[in-house]
Amino acid sequence: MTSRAGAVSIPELVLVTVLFAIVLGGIARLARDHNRLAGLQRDRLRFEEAVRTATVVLGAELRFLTDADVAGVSADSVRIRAFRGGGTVCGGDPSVPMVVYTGMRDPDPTRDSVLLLGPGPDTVMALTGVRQAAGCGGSLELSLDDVPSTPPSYLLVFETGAYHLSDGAFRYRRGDGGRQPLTETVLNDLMFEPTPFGLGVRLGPNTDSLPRLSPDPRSGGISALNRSVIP
Amino acid sequence: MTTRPGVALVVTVLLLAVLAAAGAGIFALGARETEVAAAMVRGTAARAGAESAVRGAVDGWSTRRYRTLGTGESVPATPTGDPPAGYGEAFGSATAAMETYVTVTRLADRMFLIEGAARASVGHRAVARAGAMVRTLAADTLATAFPAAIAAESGVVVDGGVVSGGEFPSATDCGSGISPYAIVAPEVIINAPAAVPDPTSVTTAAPPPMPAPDPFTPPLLADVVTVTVAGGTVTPRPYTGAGGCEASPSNWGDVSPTGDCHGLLPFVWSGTDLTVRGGEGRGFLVVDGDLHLDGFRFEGVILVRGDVLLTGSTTVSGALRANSVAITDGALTHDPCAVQTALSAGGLDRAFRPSDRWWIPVF
Repeated sequence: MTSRAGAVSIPELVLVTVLFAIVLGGIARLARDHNRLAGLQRDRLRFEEAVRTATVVLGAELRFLTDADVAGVSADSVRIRAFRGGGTVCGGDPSVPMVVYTGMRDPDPTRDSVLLLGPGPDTVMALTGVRQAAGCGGSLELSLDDVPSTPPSYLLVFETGAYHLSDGAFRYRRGDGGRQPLTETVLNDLMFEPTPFGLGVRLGPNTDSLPRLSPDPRSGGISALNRSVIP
Repeated sequence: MTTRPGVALVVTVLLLAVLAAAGAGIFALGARETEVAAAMVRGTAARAGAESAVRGAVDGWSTRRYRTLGTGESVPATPTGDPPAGYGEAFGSATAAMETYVTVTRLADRMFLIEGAARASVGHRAVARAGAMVRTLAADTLATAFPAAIAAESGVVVDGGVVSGGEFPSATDCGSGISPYAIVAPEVIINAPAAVPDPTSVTTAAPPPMPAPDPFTPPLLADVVTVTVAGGTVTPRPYTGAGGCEASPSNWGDVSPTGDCHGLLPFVWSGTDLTVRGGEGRGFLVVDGDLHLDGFRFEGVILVRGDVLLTGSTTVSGALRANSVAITDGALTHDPCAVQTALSAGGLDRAFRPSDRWWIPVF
């Protein structure tokens, strides 16, 4: 008995099949492990990104606040005056000052108040109107709801808002509005807590469910310049 | 030659493709994380640079430098000398890694805004800004409280010596609006007419009030005093050691312009009655009690809450203000330039941190 050229025998076929199965199994296992590794990496990056976002946003918001600007800090919320702009007072009446304004956005009488700084004590007033002014080179004219006891020299525009850690995300809520998520919902295990430096918050874990990472991305200390002696 | 069908090459290529894709994915994640971390480092460095620049401007502050700045006007901060230790290279200039800019804006008579901006300029740029409000003592305003060689709230008795109003100062050198009075007091008794060569330089009126709030009372006082005297009798003299002038409670500076201690310019405070017998000094002397000067040479400003007696060959060039003054011997000359210089004594010329809000957000 002779075999035809190019044909394979049964043992050859079995050997090839076994080898092919081994290779395929290895590839499948590699793909699965890689998928798991990529998932872990992705989760960690999402988590780190969320913590980083919360730390940077809070750091920027709290850096220049005083005690008077912080309404309260609890485990899941920080309620503050969120400054959105300001400028030097360059003229106008005390109750309608002209301001050389710069900020994240224009003042909005429907949601903003102003903090008046000057030789006298700091004063908070409601903003009742805003319009472009002709003087001072592109300034704004801000209408206040009262006449300050001393003319202000500098003016800060702020809205009252609160940062929350709720439903797994870092969120911001302006006034009584809804809580808008600023991060993905990966922050179930974090909480705000006062720092030893006085004003400020720390994003710290309230459970040990997450594996320890080095450096630990779950904590982000935030110090406030006006309160603490800078370490 | 025969050809045999096979899949080994195809499988190998596919396997390599899968491995390459997997490796590239993980590499991309790692690279992105590195970039994000680097960006955060640059942002933090820029923020630290801006805040350090503001701190450096506060540290090197001299109110006199901004005396001509009008309300609402801004100028670049012009620090003198090297940046203070701890502020690194990020101060008032550009370096390879950081550029910083500081501007000073006068918000009110005694209130300034210092704005710092920094740009970390390695790789992608990061920019940060910081601002701080500072208060000052406004030396020009304070100078008006010392309008004469002798200013007294109650009265002045001249039994000898020489009291003169000096010369009109140049507006650019020592400020304007300061008249060369010899004596300003509600009641002036001159028993020795020769002691006041120019009778027209005597004004019988109450001196201008001290600025409110009086900066020479607590808590500001505690920030500016450099020498505290426990009352009694003292004889201050300049002291020069191996390293030059050495500050000490008994060294109130040197009147001689060539002396090593001429630039010492202390702010001296006594909480009770004080007698200064002999010696010399410069700067600012505040006495919460009575003061007796006997053969003392002084250049600057003397502020006494009680009464003053001048005897011996006491010479004062500058200004003296007290409740009442009696002079039997010595020479008092009103010197507005000495007054202005004394208003830089101790920490009078520096920036003060407001009580509640110092740093403010700038946009």
